[in-house]
Amino acid sequence: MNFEGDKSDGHTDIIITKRITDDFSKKKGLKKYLNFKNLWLIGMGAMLTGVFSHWNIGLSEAGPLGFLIAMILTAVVYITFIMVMSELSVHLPYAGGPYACARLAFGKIGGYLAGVATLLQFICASAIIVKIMTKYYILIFSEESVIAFAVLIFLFLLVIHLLEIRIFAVVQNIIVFCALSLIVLFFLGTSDVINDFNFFNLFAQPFRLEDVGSALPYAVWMFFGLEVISVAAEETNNSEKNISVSLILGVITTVIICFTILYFVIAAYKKGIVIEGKFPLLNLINTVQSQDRVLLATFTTLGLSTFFASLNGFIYGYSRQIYSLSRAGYLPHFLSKLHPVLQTPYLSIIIPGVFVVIMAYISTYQFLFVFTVFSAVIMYMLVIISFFRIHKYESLFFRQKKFYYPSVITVFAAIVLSLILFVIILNYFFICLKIFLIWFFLILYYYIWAQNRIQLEAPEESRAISARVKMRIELK
Amino acid sequence: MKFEVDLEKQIEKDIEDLHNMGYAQELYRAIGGFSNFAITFSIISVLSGLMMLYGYGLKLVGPFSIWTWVVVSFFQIILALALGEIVSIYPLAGGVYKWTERLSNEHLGWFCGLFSLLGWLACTAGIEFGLGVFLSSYLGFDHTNLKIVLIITSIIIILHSLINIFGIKIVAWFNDLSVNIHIIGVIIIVILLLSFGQRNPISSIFNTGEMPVDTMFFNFAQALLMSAWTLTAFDAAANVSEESINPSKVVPWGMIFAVLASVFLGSILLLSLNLALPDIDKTLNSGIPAALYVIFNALGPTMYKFVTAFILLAQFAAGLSSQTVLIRILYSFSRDDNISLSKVWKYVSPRYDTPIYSIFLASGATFLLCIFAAFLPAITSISTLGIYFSYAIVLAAGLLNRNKIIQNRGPFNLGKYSFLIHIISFLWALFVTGIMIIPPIGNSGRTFIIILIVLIIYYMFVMRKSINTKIE
Repeated sequence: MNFEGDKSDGHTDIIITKRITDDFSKKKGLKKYLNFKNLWLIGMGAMLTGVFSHWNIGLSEAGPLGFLIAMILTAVVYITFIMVMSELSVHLPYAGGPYACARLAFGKIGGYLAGVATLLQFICASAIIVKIMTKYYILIFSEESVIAFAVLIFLFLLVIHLLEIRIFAVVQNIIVFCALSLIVLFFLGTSDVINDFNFFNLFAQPFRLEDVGSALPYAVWMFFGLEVISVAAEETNNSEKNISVSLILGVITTVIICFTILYFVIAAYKKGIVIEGKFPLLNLINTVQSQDRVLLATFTTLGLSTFFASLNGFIYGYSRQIYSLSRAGYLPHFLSKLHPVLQTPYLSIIIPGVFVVIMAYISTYQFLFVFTVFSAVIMYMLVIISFFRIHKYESLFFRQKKFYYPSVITVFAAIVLSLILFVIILNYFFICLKIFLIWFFLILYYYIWAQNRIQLEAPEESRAISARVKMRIELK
Repeated sequence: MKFEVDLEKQIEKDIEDLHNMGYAQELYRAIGGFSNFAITFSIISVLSGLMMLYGYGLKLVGPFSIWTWVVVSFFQIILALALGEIVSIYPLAGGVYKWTERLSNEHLGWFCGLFSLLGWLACTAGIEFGLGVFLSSYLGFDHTNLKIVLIITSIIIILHSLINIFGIKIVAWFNDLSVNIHIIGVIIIVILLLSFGQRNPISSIFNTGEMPVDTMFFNFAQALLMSAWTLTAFDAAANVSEESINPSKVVPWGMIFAVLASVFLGSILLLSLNLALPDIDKTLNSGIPAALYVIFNALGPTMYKFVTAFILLAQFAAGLSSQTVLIRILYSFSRDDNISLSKVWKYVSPRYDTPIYSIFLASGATFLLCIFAAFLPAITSISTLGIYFSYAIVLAAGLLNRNKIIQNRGPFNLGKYSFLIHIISFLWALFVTGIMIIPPIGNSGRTFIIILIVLIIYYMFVMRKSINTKIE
């Protein structure tokens, strides 16, 4: 069968019909099961590790006010990104998510870069969560059984993903419920000691702009994760509506949770409580409720659920991203194979899973952290710029003609993202060199191997091609 | 796609069945099997019922009260089977009222329906008033101050009414949520109590406190109220039959699964409470419901706040479902012109597909009952009495007209065990009614007689001639 690519000359006809793409989806399609609630829980689960751990390093670097400013800047970026993503996902309801958006705006290489950035973000996030989870386990239990614990949990989650999507959804519902209960318990446990005076008093403290910059990656770490929703489109009923609504509700919930936690932490602030340790919520509860052994035991045990929820979310994210990239030919095609009965992309789950374990074992925490945030920022930028481009050349593409996310804010978000990228490169220069090297090989791989193997009947590809043809016809 | 077509066909068939029973489809048919189960499960609400009445059983027979749950569960499962068979034949809004009417005559149906209506009114008031008391205490208000409790109760009633006005889909959504809250809430309470609060051996479930042996039977029978009030009202699903898809099948199964799930959750909840029970006198004199004191004592203040949030949510959902059922019974009554001012009450809002004036009436009556009988055990007694007596009437009607059941059997039927199950159920319903009204156990005898006299007067002078006799 001879398919036509999106050649810029535009003289050849497109012969990818709807029947062909439908056949392709039938052969390679995922099972539609998820609803709006499932999506929201997947997204919330993915972001919860960031809320539970490590973000307080940014707080100690920038001070309360500095970190609050960093969080506000990041929140603007994140809300912008999610709004843009929710708008684009209405028209591009594919497993590719960010890859599908950038593919439409920038062609194959753009799609590939966004897809790989998303993939790296999800894989590195999974690896870093495994690392943090083992540290947490050692902190509350013992070092002896930690390897067995980590392997068992990871295997359990992989098996969950290999089974039907509905089993994954049920397990994720339970885990995220436990993790959200932890947040509620945190609020209840600290509500007696919070003090508005403490909170407002901290505004009087000095801060340095460069410290705000240094705190930005940690603020990103606190917020990120919700984007896994964007790769769930092909498994979602009524995806045009559900993806969009769950992204918007997710970002509202995320912003409320993050800022409320910051308020509680700062309002209960006493020197030494928060700064030390990598699990700020646990530290604070431990300090203010040291007598309540039931609360502490419950809180500590529930803490594990945040890692399970995030890991479960990111495994879902990377598997669907690999599935879509390999289905379209950017990655080896065999990775997109679906299980004939369960309709799950089993190789996209298992092979990167092994890779995650190896990365968690050989990489340092700092490398994984920088790599995760770096990849996330690259992906956010690509999506936001894609939005600009699509908006400019295909304004009719959008559901409401008047959909208009203020361009000032969008530009501002792009500037803040550039700033975050600059800060990361400046602060972690040698790690970034390694990251650039990895990116270099990935781009090399694309030009040498992948670009000639693109499957144009993949939905993300055919959608991009048909949109371009439509645009050409309109221009004529 | 095929699923949607099948669903459409099923709904068309359900509407046709309703037409054959003499009614037009006016309510919005949107409730599936799970939601039907959920509405009953939500009203049974082990989290709210047992939590509020645990102390009542404890006071009478000590931790031994757990056995009232066992006895009541056994008979309630049988009762659910019997009622399930009847609802499979007559899946109509109004539940026992319509069943009695069809099985015997309109006049007996009217009496049965009014007892059911009264029971559901008291059930709704009991849950909403109980929630009002509990929420006042949770929010830090003085829960012994009746004014504050009534203000909070009225806010709860208004919220329930608004949700009921805006549509059955929102109610169904709340009920589905309620199932999750109940399951998760009970599991959390049980795990926490067993992990951190266990202080008694398993043999404590045979501890009858300091109760003298000669009063054992009477006290135990009285303590049945704890379980009988909690594990009841499972005809709720029947009252939303006209809003359910394939009701002849999903309603009976919804009832039975709801009872079984509640029996299981209630059992583990009571067991964990008994195992964590501190000194009985201290528990009973703590000033808060006994079950809550056990939780507070075992888990500490923060976990108590956390766990009780589940109970509050469960109570809210139970109150909502209960009000929904009450409204449907009112609607059913007014549709047959069997209540004064029927024209007003039967009006269904074309915008929301809900009987809005029935909602106002139900809310107003609930509030009035809360004002006049502002004492939880009194309200729950009226509720249990009304609901069980209506069961007894419908089961008696079924036993006296066996042919109608045998000839019209629906997709859910009990086959050769039907008669036995019906007769046991009837005796059980009669027994529970009896212990509510006959001294020295029951103290609702006077209330029962007053209600009966009022109903007879209303019937003789207002309704007797106008009761609809068109239906064959």
